[in-house]
Amino acid sequence: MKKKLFVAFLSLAMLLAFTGLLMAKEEVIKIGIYADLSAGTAQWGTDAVKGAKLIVKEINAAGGALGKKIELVIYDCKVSPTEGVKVYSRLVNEDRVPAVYGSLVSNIGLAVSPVAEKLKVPVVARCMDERVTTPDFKMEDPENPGRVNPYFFLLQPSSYQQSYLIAGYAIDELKMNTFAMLYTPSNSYSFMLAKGFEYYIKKRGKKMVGSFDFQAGDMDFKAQLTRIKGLNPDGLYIPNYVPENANAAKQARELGLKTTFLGNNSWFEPMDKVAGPAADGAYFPLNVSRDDPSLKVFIDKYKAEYNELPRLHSFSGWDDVGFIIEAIKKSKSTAPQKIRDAMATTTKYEGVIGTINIDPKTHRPIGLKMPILKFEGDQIKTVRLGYYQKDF
Amino acid sequence: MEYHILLQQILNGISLGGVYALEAVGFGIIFNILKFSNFSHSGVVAITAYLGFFISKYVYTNFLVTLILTTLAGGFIGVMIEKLIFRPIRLKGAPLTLFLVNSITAAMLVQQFFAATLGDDYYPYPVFMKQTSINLGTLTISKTYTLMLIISGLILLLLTLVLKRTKIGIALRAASTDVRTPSLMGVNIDFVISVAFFIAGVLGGITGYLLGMTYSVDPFIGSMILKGIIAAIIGGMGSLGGGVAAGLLLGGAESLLVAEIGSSLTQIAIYSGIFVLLLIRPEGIGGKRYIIKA
Repeated sequence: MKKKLFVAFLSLAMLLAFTGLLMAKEEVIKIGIYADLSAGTAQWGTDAVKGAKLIVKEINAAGGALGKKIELVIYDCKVSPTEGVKVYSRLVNEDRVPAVYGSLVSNIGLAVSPVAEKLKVPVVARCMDERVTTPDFKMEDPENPGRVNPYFFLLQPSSYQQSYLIAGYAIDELKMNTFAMLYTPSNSYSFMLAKGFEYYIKKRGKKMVGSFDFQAGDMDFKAQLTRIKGLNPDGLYIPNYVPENANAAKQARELGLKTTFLGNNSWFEPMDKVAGPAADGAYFPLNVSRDDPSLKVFIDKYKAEYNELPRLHSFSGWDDVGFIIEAIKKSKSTAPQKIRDAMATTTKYEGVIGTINIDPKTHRPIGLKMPILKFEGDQIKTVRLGYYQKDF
Repeated sequence: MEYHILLQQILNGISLGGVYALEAVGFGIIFNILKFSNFSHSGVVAITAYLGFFISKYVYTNFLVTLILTTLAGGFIGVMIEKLIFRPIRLKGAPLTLFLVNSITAAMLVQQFFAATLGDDYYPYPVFMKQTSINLGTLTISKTYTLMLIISGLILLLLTLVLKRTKIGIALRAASTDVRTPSLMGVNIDFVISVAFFIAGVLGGITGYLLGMTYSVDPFIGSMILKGIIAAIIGGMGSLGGGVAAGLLLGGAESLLVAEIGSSLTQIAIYSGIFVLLLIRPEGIGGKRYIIKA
């Protein structure tokens, strides 16, 4: 008898605890994040998470969304595509988040994209490779992007858009005619930027005199740079990650190369620290410029919170999680499908990087302008706020 | 190809090859004695690369001081690695596979440790020299690369002297033929192995410092010694002279090919070349053909 009583009591206690748990769960809306918090691009991932936490803090202070507080569930995906797939699945299957903010690494985006299509929980990320949101994208035919992955979104200009921008600037503003480039096919972000750059300058009737690649892990580019020196182009496009960009710049200067560097958005900090004065004279596009007066409010908030200046992906984290919360509010729901539908039709989302209008056909923003920045010595200066290139 | 470009490419190749040679010797010296591939060498390279950064950035910014400190640290780390992970299993008479497993585990441990602790920032060394290159007509010679080459040369020369002229060198060479016999003849084999790891560590320390200084440091810097390992294989595992020759050859071939046929085709060409070479000469460039007697 005693035993039965005990069992009954225990089940009651468990039931109570369980409902308590359920009720506690109901009080928050979870948003999943998988970001690179260790290895290669960890600084970007860490910055993105800082930006994300800041906007969540602000929105929660103002009452949250749908009357509930927002809670972030954050995992490290270690710059690894397989790890990315693993933690995305975990966020969906175990943490049951209705939407995810993903790593900005294109190689990871390419791996997660088909999984997101299967698990049907939308991902918002900064993966610039077109194939992340439009899987059938053909490099030779960028005007016809093909079918869109309904569950993946990009919140910045894509690879082709960003490379058109700097190529357009080089042709129209810097009056360049001949180009060379140094990129790596092992990083889809770098590869797609290079392909977009080549496509644009050819369309504009300019010449690519030398296209050179390198392998993952290579840090010595002297052989390629020696050839480029002999070709003497007006501009040299170097669209890779920070360490490769910095080593290319340093070695080019050591070899006495005088060509103007054209960069990608990875030429921003910490390039100034890693490449130092070797980066002098380089032009590159960036999603934001801290010289933009309209960003002062955000920069001050960020500085007050973290005691440092925001870098590029601090802005990304703020915008991307803000975009997710906006979609939750708009759909008045925490169902992944409804949130996705809201995302696909989002127009005029006022992000810190500009007004975002999602193109429902590609899930990429339409016509975002970008500031053009320039290295003077080891200082980064803004030479143009909000540039947009000519069409072909 | 114009001749000055060709000449410049050869110079690029030699300087790159100098680093491969340094890595190949550091790797080969352990193989020479204990007959296993010591992947933990990449751990020494990574640790000293970070150490060099912290010394030159926060303690004292001087090329030579940092070089000496990282070199000594490298030797010390080499000895510690041997004492901690190889000696215990050697005394138990573990099979060679276990040595290999331990060395890979150690390399992974170091890499993951740095990825977890220091992975979220970049570590560029302070600038030691204002002018980074010397111009000779149309040719440009990089100062850091030249220094790397000279230092590699000096160290290898010193190593050869030690191996040929000193008592410990003779013991090392004896141990490389057979570990058991010299120990039966009264040579303190534990000490000899410690010395071998010290020398390998010293070479690893220099490699780490030079790689870190030239390319800036990240947790995966240790994996850059892969090319050195390949050089050691082409050179004939354990043949130090062969390793140096193969390192220079590999660097030269890479520099000449990459600019002409692209980096992906270069890798295919080089690996197929290695395959063919090893089919013709399985013992590598400088290896000796020997028959293992039962």
